[in-house]
Formats: sequence, structure tokens, C-alpha cells
Amino acid sequence: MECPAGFRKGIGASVDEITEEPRDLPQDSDLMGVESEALGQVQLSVRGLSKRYQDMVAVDDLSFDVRAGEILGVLGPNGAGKTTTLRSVVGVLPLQEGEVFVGGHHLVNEEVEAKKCLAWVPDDPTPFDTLTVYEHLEFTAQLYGVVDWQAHAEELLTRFELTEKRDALGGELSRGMRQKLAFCCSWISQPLVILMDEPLSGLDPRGIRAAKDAIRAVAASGAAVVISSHLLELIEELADRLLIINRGRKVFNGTLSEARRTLAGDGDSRLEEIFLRVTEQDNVLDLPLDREL
Amino acid sequence: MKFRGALRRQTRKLKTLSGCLFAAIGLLLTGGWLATLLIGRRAFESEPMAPEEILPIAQFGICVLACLSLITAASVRGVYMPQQDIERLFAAPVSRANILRYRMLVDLGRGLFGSLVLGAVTFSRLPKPLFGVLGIMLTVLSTGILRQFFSLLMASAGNRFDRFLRGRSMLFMRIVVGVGVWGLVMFVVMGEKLLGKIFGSVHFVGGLEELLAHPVSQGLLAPALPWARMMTAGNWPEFLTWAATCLFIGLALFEVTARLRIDYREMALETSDRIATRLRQVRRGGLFSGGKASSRTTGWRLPKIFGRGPMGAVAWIKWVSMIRKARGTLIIGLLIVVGVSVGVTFLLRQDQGMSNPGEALVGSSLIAMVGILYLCGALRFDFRADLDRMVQIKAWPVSSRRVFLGTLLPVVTLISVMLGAAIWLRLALLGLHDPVAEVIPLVLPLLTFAWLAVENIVYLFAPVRYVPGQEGSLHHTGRAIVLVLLRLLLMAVVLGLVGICAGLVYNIGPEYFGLGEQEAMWLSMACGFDVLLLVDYGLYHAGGRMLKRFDVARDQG
Repeated sequence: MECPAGFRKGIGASVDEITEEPRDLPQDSDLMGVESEALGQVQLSVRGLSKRYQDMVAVDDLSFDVRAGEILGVLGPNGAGKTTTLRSVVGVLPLQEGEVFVGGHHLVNEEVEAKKCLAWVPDDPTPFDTLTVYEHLEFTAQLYGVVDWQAHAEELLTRFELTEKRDALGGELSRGMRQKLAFCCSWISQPLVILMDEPLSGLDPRGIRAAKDAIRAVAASGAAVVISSHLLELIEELADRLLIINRGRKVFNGTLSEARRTLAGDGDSRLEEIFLRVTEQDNVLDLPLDREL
Repeated sequence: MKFRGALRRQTRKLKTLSGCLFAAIGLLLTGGWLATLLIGRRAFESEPMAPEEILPIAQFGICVLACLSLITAASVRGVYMPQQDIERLFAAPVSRANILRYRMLVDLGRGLFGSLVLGAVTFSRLPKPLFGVLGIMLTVLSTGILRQFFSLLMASAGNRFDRFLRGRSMLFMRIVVGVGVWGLVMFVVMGEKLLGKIFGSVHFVGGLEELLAHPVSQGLLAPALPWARMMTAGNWPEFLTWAATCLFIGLALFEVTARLRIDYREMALETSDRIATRLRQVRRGGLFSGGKASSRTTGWRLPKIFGRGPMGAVAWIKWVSMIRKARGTLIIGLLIVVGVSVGVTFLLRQDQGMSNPGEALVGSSLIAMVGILYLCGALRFDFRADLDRMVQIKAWPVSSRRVFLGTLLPVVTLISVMLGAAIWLRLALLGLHDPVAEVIPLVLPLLTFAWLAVENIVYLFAPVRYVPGQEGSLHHTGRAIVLVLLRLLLMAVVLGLVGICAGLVYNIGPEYFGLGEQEAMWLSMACGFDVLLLVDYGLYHAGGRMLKRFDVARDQG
């Protein structure tokens, strides 16, 4: 089965347009069980992922799933293994141990098909200094085999306020502009799964607002989204589920509500308190989507 | 502190086995090179020149060094300091004079090695080698201070004549000074022999000695006299007297430079930023193809000449890079092609006994080999320019083999077209005819691909991005040399394989298949072509595998 490029519709549309469709997205107040009904099938499945650098274990036996329409926030202290996890999942780093399935495709055995279902926004996007903004979209569309991408490209450029910069070369863009361009490039193929590493770094307040709206919209349109960030407010605001990693190991996997109940013992704790508490201890708490507490 | 840091970095690299090995190779080769210079000059050069004979030449050399300092100062206005130094020192409670003193001392430390090499190259011609080497070292170090002095004056002038210094007039001045210095150097190297060849029996100047003996030249060279006297001193009292004088002048210039009332901060920020950008570009894509892209062509619709599939897209971005960096690409490419073609023709024309077809074949083969070697080194539109982008490239939904091929295809095409045109044009212009020589351009794409594939496979295996002035250079030198040898070895295997197969067919063809010499030659060429095709296919797979195993977390160069 090949992942058809541009299979999902409405990614370029606004959040309001998207939410007009009859769709029930999980909120923080929702509890388990409701989510499993609202969310689609598992689009990203990671099983027993491990990565070692000589004697150092960067990622240790990590497993998690992300469903269509779900936003998974990956948290962890510096050096916890977040970027290594994301890079392994998108095929940038070779898989040493474990398995990754994207849209049902095995990342190793069906590498090209799996990667066609994926989009990746690295922490420091490096655009080609000789391609214009618009040509980056053209290149990405050709790379992913997307046809009739032009209208969608225009929508993305408008959404991320890059219309005036469409003829600017990649080498002339500021850090924030590069980040916006990386969003546009990852959105253009309308992927099943989007992974973002520190997606808001370098963006101005208006850019942050646009990025947040776009992330919500892309999830609402049915993509499985994984965000790794140190910005706890961002994760708290956007993520449906949390994956907290410490020293390469999973220490929590569940919703914010579950985290509040199981880790903080109350329903009001902020994510910051939960994060600090969880990363101080190494107890693994894995709460799968379809299991109620 | 900085020295301690550099030393620590070097010793840390020595803690691993590969670090030790590469550093040892680097040390061995650098030491060996210096020893060759010292022994070679001593063994093969003629006797030292007389002081009165060498004195004007030494003055001339010092003036050339000073001129080069002036040219460098024009492009490095103010003070060049790495970004981390600027951030710490400019904000620290340190006077601007002390910052300058620190910077000049760092430059002097770095200049020591260069002065030692220059001393090793020239000492055998000087009356007393020890005085010569010491004198040259002191002179080179003084030139460094002079360069800083000029840089500050340029910074001051830059504030007043900014438009002039940034405009084309400055570029024109630099070109004039550069051409002038180049002309002088050529005159020194070739002298009357060259002029005689160009202008026949017309007598211009008897040579360098006569030119330097002219009163005008002597007047121009007079400021360099103390340093020249120091280098050419014949005894200790004379050397010490002139060395003390030069030391005094050097120290005075050092202090005057440090105390100049010029606020260089803004200019230093700009200069350092510009040099850092240039170094980044060099690290990414070499000196020429790493240059800035021109925005004039952003409105052009560049055709997708390598197809509309994913591999075509990969090739398209390289093709666009070449067009947008055409100034650097084409100028340097054409310079190399013309230089190689003219050089080869000049070299072969010296050998009057060579036949017409012989000259055609040898010349075309030489242009192909030397051209590929130089163009592949200069035009880096391949993975050597993409190391910072590997995190994105590895996520592309294209097989690594296709990415490898798509990346190399445009540059292979460009080099093949350039060299093919040069070969055919040369044959046509010189009226040379040889069927084999005329076919060589058709083999160029395969040969170029083989060379570039080997180059990139080795690069992906162990990416080394050495930039002059980088820390840990000994380790990098050793590593780079080992990798160059590995590339040459692989290329020798490739060419050897092709040569053996073609030679075998050529030798057994007449005997086993009853072919004539001409037929056997064509058959052997076809066989060589097929073997090269197979080798290229193997390299395409090997390149894909190497790209697949490339670990962005480890292989950052």
C-alpha cells in the first residue's frame, strides 16, 4: 500500500473552516475512552526503539503510538533523547533496534513509502540558499509526487505570511522565516504524520499564533502530529497526549488529565510541576490510549 | 588561555586511536615536507649569493610582502576576530588598545609557522643561513603588524570614504594591485626569457638585477633596507645591529598600532561577520561554488532537465544552484578549462617530435584527466556542499541511491560538457585529427561520474571539512591526507580495472579473433567503456549504501 500524497483535504484551510466539519477532538477535560472513539486509527507506531552511541544509551526501549488527529507532545530535559527519537522515527538516523510503522508501512522494509507519509520539521531548518521560497514548495511537491499543489502552496504562503517573500532566496531568510518555510514545506504534501522538533523557535508572536493555528488545523484534518519542545505552555495548550522521556527512557505516556491525577494527585497542577516531578524520578507510567484508569 | 585551549583540543583528539594515528600522519607529513625543503634546498641549490647581490632581491621580496599586506588590509578592515572573541572582549572591561595588542600577539603566534616555511625555502641563498632564517621570521612577523596598522587606517578611511571603498573603484584598485604583483612575480620567475619569447629580439630590461639597480627602484625599495640588511648580514655584530633596529621599529609600530585613536568596533563586527560568512561558505561548498547566490535569476523558470520525478527534483536543485552561482561556477570552470587546455598544448608543442594523431590523443587524454581532477575539486555541487542539510536530505522519500545519483548528475553533466567542448575545440583549432581522441568526450560523463562518486563515497564515509585557521589542524591534515590517498587508491583501482580489460582485449584481439589493429583498438575501447559503465553502476550502489549508513549524529565533519 502506497501513501497517496495529498490524500487529506483542508490542511490549508483555516481552523474555523476545519472545525465546521462534524468532528470531535479530545479536550483536556475529556477522559480516556472518549478519546479512543474520537481519534482515528494509529498512524505512527514505535516499538522498542533503542539508539546507542558507543557506551551511551540515547534512547532505551521506547514504544508509543500516535493516532490520526492526535497531537503528541514529547517532553524531556536536555539530553533526554527527544531529538534522537524524532530523527530515528523519520529515518534520519538509522534504526539500531526496534520497529517504526508509518501509515502501516515499515520504516526499514518500505522506507520510501513510509517516508512519503511523513513530514519533518527539524529544530534548525536549513533551506537551500539558491532556491526561492516558492521553489522550495515546488521542489517538495515534486519530491513527494504531489500534483496540483499550486493552490495549496498559495494558501500556505498566505497563512504563514510568506507571500511577499515568495521570490526571496533561502539564504536571505531570517530564522523565523526559515521556520515558517519549513512548516509550509512539510504541510504541502499533506502527510499522515508530522514530526516537529522545537517548532516555535525563532518565530515572532504573530508567527507563533499562525503556527499554533496551523498545527491545530493539520491535526483536525486528520494528521498525527508529534511535537517535541521545551515550551511547556505550548505542549499544555496543544497536545492531546504527553510522552515524557528522561535519560532515553519513557517515564510517562498519557493525557494531561491522567498526568494530573496519577502523578500530581490533583486535577489542577500545571504541566511544569508535573514535568519537574516526573523527571526527578524514573518510574515508568505508560497509559495506552484505549485503557481507562 | 587561548593557546591552552587549542592545546587541550589537540590533546583530546589524541586520546582516541584514530586521533593518534591521524595526528602522527599529519606530523610526519608536515615534518617531512619541512625536512625536504631544508635538505632539498641545501642539496640542489647553488652556492649562497653574495650580500651585495642578494640585498636588492631581499628588499624587493620584503616590498612584495608589504604590498600583499596592503591588499589583505583592504579586505580585512578594522580587526578580524572570531565571533566569540568579539562577544566577550568588546563587552569586557578591557581597553581597545589591549584588545588590539592581544589580537596582534595571536596573529604573530600564528605567523610563526609561515615564517619558518618561508625561511626554509629561501635560507640556502642567503649568506648566513641562521641569520637568514631569523631575519625572515622577524620580517614576516613585522609584516603582520604592518598589516594590522594598514587595516586600522583602512577602517578609519572606511568611515569617511565608505562609498568609494565599497564600490567598483576599490575592486578595480585591488585588481590593478593584484595584476601588478602577479606581473612582478612572473617577471622574477620568467624574466627576460619570457619577454624575449613574446617580443623577440627587442631589449627591455636585462633582468631582475638590472631593474632593481635602477635609481627609481632603489628609492622605492629603500624602506625595506633594515630588514634586508638583517637577512643578509655576514657576521654577528652586523646582524645584531640590524636585528635591534628592526626589533625597535617593529615594537614601535606595534605600540603605535595599539594606541591609534580609531574606533574599530563597528568595522570589526562587519569584517568578522563577513569573514565568518565566507568561512561558512567555504566549509559548505568550497571556495568558488560556496559563494553567494545571485538574486537576479529568481524570476526565471528554470527547466527541469533531469525529469519530473523525485530524482529529477534532487537534480533540479543542484542545477538551480549552478545557475544562481554561475558567476563563480562559470568563471572558475572556464579558467580551469582554458588553463588546462593551453597548458597541455604548450607542454606538447615543446616536444617537436610528436606526430599529429599522437598529439591529438595525448592532449585530449591529458585535458580530460587533469580537467576532471581540477574541476571536481573546484565545483562542489555535491554532498560536500550539503553536510549541514543532511538532517533534511535523509528524511526525503527517495531511495538513497537515487539521491546519490540525482545529486551528482548535474555537476557530472556540466564538467563533461565543458571538457568535451574544450577537447573538440582544441582539435578543431589546431587542425588535429585522431578518431580515438574525438571519441574521448563521449567517455567523459562516465569518467567524471566515477571520480566524483569515489570522491563523495569517501567524503560520506568520513566527512572532513578543513578550513584554514581551524583548530586541531594537525589532526585534520593527517586525516585529509589519508582520505586523499584513499581516493587516489580507489580511482587507481577503477582506472586499472578499465585499463587491464581494454589492454587485454587489444592484445588478444588480433590473435584470437583475427582482428586488424584498428578493429582491435575499437573493440578494446568498447570493452573499456563497458567495464567503466559496470564500475559506475557499482559506484552508484556503493554511494547509495554510504549515504544510507551516514549518521547525522556522528558524521558532522
